Amino acid sequence: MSKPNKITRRALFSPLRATSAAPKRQAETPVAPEDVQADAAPKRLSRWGMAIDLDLCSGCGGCVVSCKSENNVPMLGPEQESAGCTVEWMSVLPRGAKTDEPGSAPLEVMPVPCFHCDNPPCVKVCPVNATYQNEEGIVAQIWDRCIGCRYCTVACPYSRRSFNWKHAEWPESYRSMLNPDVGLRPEGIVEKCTFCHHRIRKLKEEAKLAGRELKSEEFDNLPACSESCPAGAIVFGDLNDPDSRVSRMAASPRASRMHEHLGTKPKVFYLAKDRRNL
Amino acid sequence: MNPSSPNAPPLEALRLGRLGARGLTFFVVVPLLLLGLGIYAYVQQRIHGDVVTHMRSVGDGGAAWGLYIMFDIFFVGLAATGIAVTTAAHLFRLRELRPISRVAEFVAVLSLMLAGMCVMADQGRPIDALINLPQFARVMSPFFGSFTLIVGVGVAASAVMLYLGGRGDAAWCARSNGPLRFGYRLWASGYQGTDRELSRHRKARFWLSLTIFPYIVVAYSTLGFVFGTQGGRPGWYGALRAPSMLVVAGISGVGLIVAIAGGLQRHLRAKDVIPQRLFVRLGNILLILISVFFYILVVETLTDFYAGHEASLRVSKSIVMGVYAPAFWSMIVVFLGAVGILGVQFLRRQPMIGWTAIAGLLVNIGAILRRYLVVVPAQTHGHYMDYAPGFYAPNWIEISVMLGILSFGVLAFIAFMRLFPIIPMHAYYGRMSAAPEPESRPRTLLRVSLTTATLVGGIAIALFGLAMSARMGTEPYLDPIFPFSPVVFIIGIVMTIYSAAVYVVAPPG
Repeated sequence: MSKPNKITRRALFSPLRATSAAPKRQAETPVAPEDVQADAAPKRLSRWGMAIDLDLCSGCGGCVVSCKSENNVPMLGPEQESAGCTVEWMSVLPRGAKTDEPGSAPLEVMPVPCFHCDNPPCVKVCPVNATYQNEEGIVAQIWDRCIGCRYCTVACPYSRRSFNWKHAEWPESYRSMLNPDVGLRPEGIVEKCTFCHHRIRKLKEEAKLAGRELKSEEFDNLPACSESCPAGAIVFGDLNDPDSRVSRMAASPRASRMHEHLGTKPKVFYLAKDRRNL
Repeated sequence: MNPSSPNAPPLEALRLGRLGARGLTFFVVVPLLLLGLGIYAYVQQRIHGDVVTHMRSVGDGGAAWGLYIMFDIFFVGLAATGIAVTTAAHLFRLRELRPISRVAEFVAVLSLMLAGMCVMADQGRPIDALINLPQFARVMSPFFGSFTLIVGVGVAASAVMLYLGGRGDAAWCARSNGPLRFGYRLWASGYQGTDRELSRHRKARFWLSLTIFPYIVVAYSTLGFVFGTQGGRPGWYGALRAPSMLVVAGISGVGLIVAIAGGLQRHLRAKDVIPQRLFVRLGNILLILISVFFYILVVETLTDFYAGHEASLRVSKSIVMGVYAPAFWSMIVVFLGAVGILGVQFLRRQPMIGWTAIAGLLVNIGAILRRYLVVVPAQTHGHYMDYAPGFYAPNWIEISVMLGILSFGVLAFIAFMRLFPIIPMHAYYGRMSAAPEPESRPRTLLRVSLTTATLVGGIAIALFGLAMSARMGTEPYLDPIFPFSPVVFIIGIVMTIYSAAVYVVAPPG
């Protein structure tokens, strides 16, 4: 005798769930791995990460400019930006310099995007799920849902989230250059680096239409910051692919993550300067 | 004494009478002007964006949370203490607290309204907040506790306490032929003052107090967790954050109640009603709370300075000897001033009502400064990255909005005092003459059934709402299983609390 079909709670509420504009992560999705590479799963999902070789970085700031251009990041002008209203998804920050000590000059700089932590404090605290981690490990943001409470900005240990303190005004000459692939954000919400996931999606769609397999090299310089880096210091890719360049760089003895003791498990790896070259 | 006896003071003695020219200026005209200024400033903030405030990005040398969040914590603290005072009066049968129980209840309701206004003033998109919070509030966020427990349960609990405690007086007020007669009758909801009714009141308020006493600790601790659980923010992260906030909440709440009680004793004919020893008792409680706060402060500061973790030390140095030192040492001076006043009263064992009221106001200034030092320096100095430190002080927009909110509170309090006895009449007259008791055995079936249904239904709905919001058994980081689950949780909790009112008001059957 066959068993009667059991109605599970999930099945019962599935129509209701479908109505919500929720960020969905499948329950079957393998949990993001602890370290550089994930355990083998039956169907492997990508786990996007980045490696930045500080030995190659000259601190030119090209990554900052290209990020702004690619993602329609509002430019508020020097007055507002110096007043602490900067909106930046990628910044070049001084490193190792005690900036609160007068007269000290920054010795080194480093590009700092959002670290897309595996254990992101910003996602934990968001009261309305406006920020979430997608199945490929990208910490994403739903612009329209954000209520502008700024809890994520104060919770992020790296301060990699920007609040839109004022309405972005685009000069007429700039409007025609706005990237149609990235939406403009309203005033009063928090925004952040997305690892240019619109580019990832686009590349995947193009490959699907062409009926070809994607190669790991195609992702190496996919985000705008990486693409524009003249020294090739920024490398992007799938940390779950052991053959990807980013995985190899992340496994380097020079690689480390920012403030690992916090337990946030960032997916951006920094390769320290190779002192032998100095 | 009975209110109908010729020697009894008139009902007006318990309500605020007509204000004189000075009172009208201080308590109505000035607050109205400040309210107007606050509305104007908030409209400017909405039109031009939050850039018109002095809040700025963390890492850019600014603080993303400023004056609004400071006062949100301040008001929630007042509310928590307001509920604590009234519940303590009923739980431990502290008769001395009864005359000020209504003040405490109304302070609780009003403070939570003001806290809600502060939060809304802080939001980048307040309309979206009003829509998205009930729809998507996540249990994983410490804001969930603030949103559901404080806004939902706190308002409901203090409103029910105020409602139950005011029924008898509302019945008395309903005898007059004023324009608000219908409102009073609605509030009284058939109050007769019989022995059985009073017994039901006592039971309901006792059990309600017993239920919501732990709530106060839990709800206010969630506000402490908003800061204390942030491992990436030196200066906030720490297990002492929640208890220290609870203690400062107690200090500001007791201080405000003492100050209001002192004012009432002076301006209403309430010298015989508010006992003088109440001021001594509350003053001693305040003294103990301030001592506990100093202990926590020393422990926190010593730990940071001794351990010397770079980022934490930077925050502590900025507070004790850096840009925030003026606020820190002002706070210490203000608290020590209050300790001095209360210490003299303690040693003399004689009430110093005026001075105690001043100490009550002083500790509130200290509590506001403490909130500033908790909220702000960790944002401007508590960086793990090499960001330059900064500074935050509110500008005229934020101060005007805050003054507007405070003025709204003053106006609401004055209006309440004008319309309703702020001191319970039974505290003045003793028990009023009761209606004759029906001789028949009371029928209780319908009442008990309705109460049980509300209580059990409320608990079931709350658990269901929590389970749906928390996605128990599935992924905790996703949306509620269906939209508005957090509201279902709140409705359940509110129903549970309102079962006390149902027990008192429902027909016997």
